[in-house]
Amino acid sequence: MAPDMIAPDTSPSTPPLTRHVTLALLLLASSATEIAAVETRPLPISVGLAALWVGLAALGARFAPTPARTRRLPYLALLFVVIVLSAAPFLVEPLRRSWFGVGYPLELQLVFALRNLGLGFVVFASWPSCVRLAGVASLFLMLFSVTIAAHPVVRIFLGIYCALGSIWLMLVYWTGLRRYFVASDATVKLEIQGGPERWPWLATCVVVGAVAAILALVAVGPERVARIAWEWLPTSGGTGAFDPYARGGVNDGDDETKGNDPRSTGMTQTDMFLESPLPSLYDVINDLYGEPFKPKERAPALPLDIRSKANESQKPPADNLRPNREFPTTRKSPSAPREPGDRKARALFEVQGRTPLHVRVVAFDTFDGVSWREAPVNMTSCLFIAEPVGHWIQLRDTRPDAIFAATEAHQFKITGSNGALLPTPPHLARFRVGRVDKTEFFCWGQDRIILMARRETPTGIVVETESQLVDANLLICAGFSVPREGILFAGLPNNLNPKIAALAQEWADPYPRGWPQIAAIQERLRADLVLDWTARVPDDCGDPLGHFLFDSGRGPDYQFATAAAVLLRSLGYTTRLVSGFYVAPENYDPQSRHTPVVHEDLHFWAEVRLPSGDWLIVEPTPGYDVLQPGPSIFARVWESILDCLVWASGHAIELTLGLVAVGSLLWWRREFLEAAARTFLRVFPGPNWQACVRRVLWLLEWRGGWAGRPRRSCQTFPAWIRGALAMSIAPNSEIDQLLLMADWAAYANDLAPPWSATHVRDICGQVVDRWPLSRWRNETRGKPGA
Amino acid sequence: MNEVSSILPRQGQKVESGGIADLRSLLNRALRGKPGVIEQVLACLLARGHLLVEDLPGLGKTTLAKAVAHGIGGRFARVQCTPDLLPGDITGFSVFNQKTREFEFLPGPVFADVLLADEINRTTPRTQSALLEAMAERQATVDNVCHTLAPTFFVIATQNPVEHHGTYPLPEAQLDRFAMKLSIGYPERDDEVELLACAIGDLTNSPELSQVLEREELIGLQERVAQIAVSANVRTYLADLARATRAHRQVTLGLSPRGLLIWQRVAQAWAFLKHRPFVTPDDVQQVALPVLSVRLGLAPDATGGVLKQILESVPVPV
Repeated sequence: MAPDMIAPDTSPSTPPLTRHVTLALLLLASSATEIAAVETRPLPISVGLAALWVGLAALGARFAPTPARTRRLPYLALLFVVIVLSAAPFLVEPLRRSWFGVGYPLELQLVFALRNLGLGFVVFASWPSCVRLAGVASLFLMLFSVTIAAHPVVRIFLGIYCALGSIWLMLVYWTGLRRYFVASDATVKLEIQGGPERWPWLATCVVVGAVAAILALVAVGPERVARIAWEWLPTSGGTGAFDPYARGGVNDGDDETKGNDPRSTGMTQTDMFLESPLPSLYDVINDLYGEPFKPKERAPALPLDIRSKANESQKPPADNLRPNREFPTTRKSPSAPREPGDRKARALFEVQGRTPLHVRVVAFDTFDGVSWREAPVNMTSCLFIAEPVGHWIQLRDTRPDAIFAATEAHQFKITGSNGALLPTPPHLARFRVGRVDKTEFFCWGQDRIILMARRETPTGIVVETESQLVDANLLICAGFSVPREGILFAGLPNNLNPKIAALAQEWADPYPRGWPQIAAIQERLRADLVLDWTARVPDDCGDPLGHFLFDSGRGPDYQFATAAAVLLRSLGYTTRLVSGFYVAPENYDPQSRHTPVVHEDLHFWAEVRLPSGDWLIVEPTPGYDVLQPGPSIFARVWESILDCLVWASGHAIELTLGLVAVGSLLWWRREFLEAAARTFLRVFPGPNWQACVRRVLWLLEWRGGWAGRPRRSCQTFPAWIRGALAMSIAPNSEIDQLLLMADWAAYANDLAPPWSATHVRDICGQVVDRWPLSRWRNETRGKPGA
Repeated sequence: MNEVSSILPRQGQKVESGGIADLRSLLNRALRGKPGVIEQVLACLLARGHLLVEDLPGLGKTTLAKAVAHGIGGRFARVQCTPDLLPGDITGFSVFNQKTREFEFLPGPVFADVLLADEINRTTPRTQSALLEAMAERQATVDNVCHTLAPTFFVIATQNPVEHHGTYPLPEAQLDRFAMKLSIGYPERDDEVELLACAIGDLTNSPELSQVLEREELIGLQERVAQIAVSANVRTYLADLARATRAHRQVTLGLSPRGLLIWQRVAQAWAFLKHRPFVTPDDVQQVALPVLSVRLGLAPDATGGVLKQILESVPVPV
């Protein structure tokens, strides 16, 4: 082979300018990636985040080791650090999802892993190879961002990146050239007679792999490849899989609503859902709560409501006063009693977000002792205001209440026909239906119940909402004004059982006016009465409420809600009865990560009017709860710790045994390993005396390493052991003899050894027994390193 | 299987009874408190190499050379190298014999058994190069006539590392002919006290030197050293070390194949002195410093730890 003329390795490490330009490239690419990841986030936050990461990398680069020889690959330990960095997004993601409830889709995790990889390479930028890899990583990040982001700033970043990238290419090329330029006085050519050239296995594998991939692509066709590649992407689209953290894609519900993709069906563009043959809510009520009946009158006829009579006499009744718009509280038992697992109906909508949740459908105003009448529509003080960006529609009160603690986000995916109702949570702050940003598309039903204007709510759309959660502590300070005579939601039945008012007074008297009284009523109802779906009032009962409160003490949820509303009205609070859907946490589907809502979730509750006009939920039915503000991050962590502790206490014996076993194994790992090695040596001493000596030396090498005196690769066993043990080796002792044998075994070729194989095995056995780990530790303690 | 006893007796027996041991004892008497240096001199002698001693004046360089010469009983010659020294002053020259009417060759100092070239760097390169052939091939060519030197021809050259005025640094080709470069160094305090005590009453300040080794005996020992086994893994280790010297950033001139051969031979001699019939990597490492320091060219910015780095960079075979 011809001699290879090379220059000595005097190549400098990467110049600072190249490193700085690489950092700038990564900053641009990381910023673009952050913008692409969450486009709705404000730009300064995205850029700031990217700057933070790149800044950390720059800081790390100051402390990173500099290479002795830049031509060599970086130390393996540094590569390990880089690999850990790239794995970090996948490790952090489950924690983010469980603690904060937000997450990135898999492709973004991959991109962040690549970003971390690039930053890791920048940390070790002293090696020219690392600088190049960092540049390649930044290029991929930039391409990814430009491909998926629509933000105009990303284009600007791309322009700067291109300009800077040209400079970077020039600098890297120049750095590569510098490695071959050495000062003329230091130029020395050495003749290196290399061994036979190695076959480039890696390059061969790459070429073979590339050729095989091309052949496979040609054989199966691009469509199939695309389909297989598609399967790898976890979207909520055509693969059948669903990932709530996935970005939108073809056939995704979100995109269907937006209608911005020609391949999506664009349901909002059609009127196919306008006419619906599905039964009305009242039919469902009859199914669930039983058919209403008219009680047999024992007393003289009740005096007519003067107001309704006047209305009746002067003009056609308002929509809410029509005969079919009322809810009698005298009902027969339902034909099919509610069972927990009896939820076969198709979901009306699915809720993503925290539960429990009350979704209003119908509000009732007047109660005549037996039946509730629906409240009039379109009588609200709240306004729809379209936000300039983001297609959000905001709800604005003239005098908002100061009782809210936090904002909660939900998504309602409409899966079944539900009339014009737009399901929303209480205390709604704003909502968004795809890109529908005109307020004319929505209208008010009853107060704080939103409907689609002049059309039914199409199936398939997603309603995103942000609502406020009430802080129970702030409620105490909230004022609940006394309603003026004659206004809505305050009227009591003329024939109201006086015991009911007395009962309200009795329950509320110990408390000051306001939320404490309301809470007292609510808690007494929850505590003293029993929820019974099959309970019914007697046929001749003219006062179903009195029967529920004083006689039976059991009834379905509408009786609780009626009782709460009437009791609160008798105390002078503006109250209404609301029927709607209760999104129960028990119905959460962990597979789809949604809570489906079906007809069986129909529920009644009461609401008290707040000074702003908003309505506060009063939930008197036992077993039903109102959504409370979520715990803070610390509370969640504490809760998970407590959960762990609870689990641990339940498995105390197994856990203790396991911990003791693992702890012992870890604590005495060396002893265990040594015992195993000794046993191995006894059973398999080796096929000849050289192997026997070699195995004992390996054991000694382990022990020396564990005792803090590892053998360096440039040391022979005798040199190492004599250095480590210094004066502890007596002449002709077993270890002294072993060291002589070690030399013979390793370097004497086929010279006849001056000892017998039996003697060698004896000596080996003695060394194994007399030089355990403890002795190594004692002998090497305090002595200088070998 | 080789017969070990033909090379070296079993452990515990004295191989060099009356031979190397006596020579060692003699040298230790001549140069007190430097047993390590003496061992290396012995290794160099047994390896049939030549020795360059670089140290300050008065540390015993000449004493050591004379002691070696006396010990092995050969003819001792000394050349005090000066700038006006001519090559013929070393190799010898032909003179016209009036009686026989023929040119007659008068052998120079190189025909001695032990040649001490004192302060070799003070003579001109022309004269230095006169030693090249003698050291490498143990022959001297004068007037187209090749003269074979003594089989035990052994050159001990000295040079002063601090005085550079009027000196001619030895060229690389010359340096590569030496097997080792040694530095004696100052003796320890106790050794100096003993030295002073021995000098009392001694007029010449020179120890009594006597022949302890016959020439044939030395040749026999050198032949036995050459037979010391070097296993394949140690040979590979040596080759790897040689390559490492050539690849090191601060080494401008790596180890030549001739240097590698000398290294192996010196390691064999070292193993022989340790009563071992084979060479271990420890032998290689222990003689690395004197063998490499004479022939490696180091960069101006090289630090003292280059040889250590080279030795640490190559894993030993185990």
